[in-house]
Amino acid sequence: MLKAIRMPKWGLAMEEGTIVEWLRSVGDEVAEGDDLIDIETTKITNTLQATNAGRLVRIVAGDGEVMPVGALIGVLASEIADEAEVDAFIAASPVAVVEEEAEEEAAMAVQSLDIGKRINVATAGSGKPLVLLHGFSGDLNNWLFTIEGLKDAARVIAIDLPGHGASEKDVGDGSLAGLAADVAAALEELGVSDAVVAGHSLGGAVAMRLALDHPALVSKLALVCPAGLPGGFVSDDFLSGIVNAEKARDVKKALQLLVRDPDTVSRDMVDGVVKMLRLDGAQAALAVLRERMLAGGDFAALSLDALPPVTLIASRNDAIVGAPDVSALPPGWTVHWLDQAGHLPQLEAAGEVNALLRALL
Amino acid sequence: MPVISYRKAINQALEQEMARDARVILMGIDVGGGAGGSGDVGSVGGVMGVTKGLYPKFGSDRVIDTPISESAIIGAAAGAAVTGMRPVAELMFVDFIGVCFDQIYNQAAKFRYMFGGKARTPLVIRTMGGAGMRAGAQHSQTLHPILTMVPGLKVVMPSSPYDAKGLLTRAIRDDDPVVFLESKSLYDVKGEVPEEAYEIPFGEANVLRDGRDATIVAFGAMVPRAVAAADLLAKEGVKVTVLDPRTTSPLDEEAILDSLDETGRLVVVDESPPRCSLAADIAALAVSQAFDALKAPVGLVTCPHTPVPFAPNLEDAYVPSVARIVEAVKKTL
Repeated sequence: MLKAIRMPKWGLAMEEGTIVEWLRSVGDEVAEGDDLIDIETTKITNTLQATNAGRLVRIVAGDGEVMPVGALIGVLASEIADEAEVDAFIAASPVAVVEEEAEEEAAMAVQSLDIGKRINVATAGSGKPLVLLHGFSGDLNNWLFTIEGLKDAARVIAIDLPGHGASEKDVGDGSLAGLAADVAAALEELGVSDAVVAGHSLGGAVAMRLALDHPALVSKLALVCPAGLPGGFVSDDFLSGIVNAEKARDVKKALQLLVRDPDTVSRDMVDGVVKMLRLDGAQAALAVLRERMLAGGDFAALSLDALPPVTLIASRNDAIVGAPDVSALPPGWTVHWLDQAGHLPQLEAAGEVNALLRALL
Repeated sequence: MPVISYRKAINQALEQEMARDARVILMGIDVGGGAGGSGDVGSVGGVMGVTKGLYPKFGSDRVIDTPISESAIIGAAAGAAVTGMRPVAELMFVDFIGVCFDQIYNQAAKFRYMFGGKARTPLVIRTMGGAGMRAGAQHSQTLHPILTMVPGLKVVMPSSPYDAKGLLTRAIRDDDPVVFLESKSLYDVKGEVPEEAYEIPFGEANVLRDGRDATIVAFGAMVPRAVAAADLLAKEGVKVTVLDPRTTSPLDEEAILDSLDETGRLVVVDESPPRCSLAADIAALAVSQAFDALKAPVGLVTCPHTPVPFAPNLEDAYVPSVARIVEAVKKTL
């Protein structure tokens, strides 16, 4: 049985990808989940993992080649196959399979919900709900590798928090309770309850508040470099860097604080944030959130003991919220430390984060 | 994100700013369209249909069809601006600027300076330029150099739908006179544009391609051509940075010099005759501020020093082409 390896589609905007490096050679046995290829998009470089086990029998597009989304880039064989069979398979394979056609129900859909204000939401896949909440000045695209990686196993719902992305810029008093109430209203609008909720940074604190105020909506929490834990801090270099940014180069400087390797901050990544910050009211909304976060009262009010089961994914090289004091956390929290990422592990170490989230579904 | 045309992006900025601020008014030839004619108001919306639909929404007090007199349009708009309105005046073709140039360079541009900073002139002059439309020598010029050299004027040359909306929004909210120079050949170009209002600051260049081999600086309709040239060069292994300063005044000198510091090679693409052009201006910037960084003579890709020809083959040869840009970059390598 031969299986096609195709150029993935990571996020709505991706049209093509560059094969940076094949991590396996022709003839290698590959297990499901093994790292196969480093692929660069205009946003970021990520590793494509094998979705099937088998032997790599052909590399169709080699290192350095640029291929459109859905294009055949390699072939895996689950049984012994001769060269002629592989040639015939490649010849019979469509040049490019666009995912929306191949897996219609799994394709990502973006919609805007009216909960008294406009909330922008992306959904993909079906099954148990997995809700993704981004951090300060981020948007749902921060989760693009997670959406792509887990939509086969869950109904993935990524939300633009108020003040962010394509959601309305009204953040009210900027409190965690207010943000959590808006997320709750959006989830109710979507008919979601009993969800696994993953929150990154500020989104992690919102996830905790959501679980405390709206317990029926949340079955488990995954906190990815969350703000608001004991022993941590919030870097005002980053917050005010974004709130006061005037030019793209100011934004780039702030974003580089987020990651371990500053080169991962691409021009497209900067452009995306710059475009969001230019929208009327965006920086003013973020200024409200910044003040509220620096005041710290909302974080102190989070009753960590009262939360549903928590998986904490923390980074040892996190310049934005620091490393939490694990000894001060309630017993029963599952803690995973990451060494290879900064403050954006869902982009910097997507495979690891996805595997940890998958285990919760 | 919605995908709309450059024309629609401009229309959207006008509509949103008119809805937001009652002081924003439009005036120009047929900007309402049909008023006093067939009765089918709002049917035309200017010669290119950019203001279509605004007359029915905002009425004749705010969308004012004027007589065919550029000096009256711009003079009235400058007066309205200095007395508290925020007019957006349409000058159908930039080629007609001669008859209203006094109102622009000797009046509007000097009010703030001559009245001791007490006068504000929030005037936007929307106009269009560019060759390639078979419109002849009097309807095909770009003329941004004439405007850029006037102190007190801001000059904007949007090169994409996203930039057109954000820069026009900024222009309308600006308290100084702004000439917003649209490119005829871009009106039907489509791109992603947020529905919400947003501003793009003046004086900040857009970086469209990153590369360390050379820097191309291009304006308005020349930007897509520079990008096409960069993509062709990339296939041959030559990686160039493409900068669109977006505004010729103020000019983002820092972005140009920073890039030149990295690449050492500069090509300027300007849809203008060469003498006293932006190409000449930026070449002067490079040699006066970054002489040590330069590894090759600055490449200037401009029109020839002639009026825009009417013969289609000559007109096509007149405007800087992708092939000429590629050739100019290669010459610097």
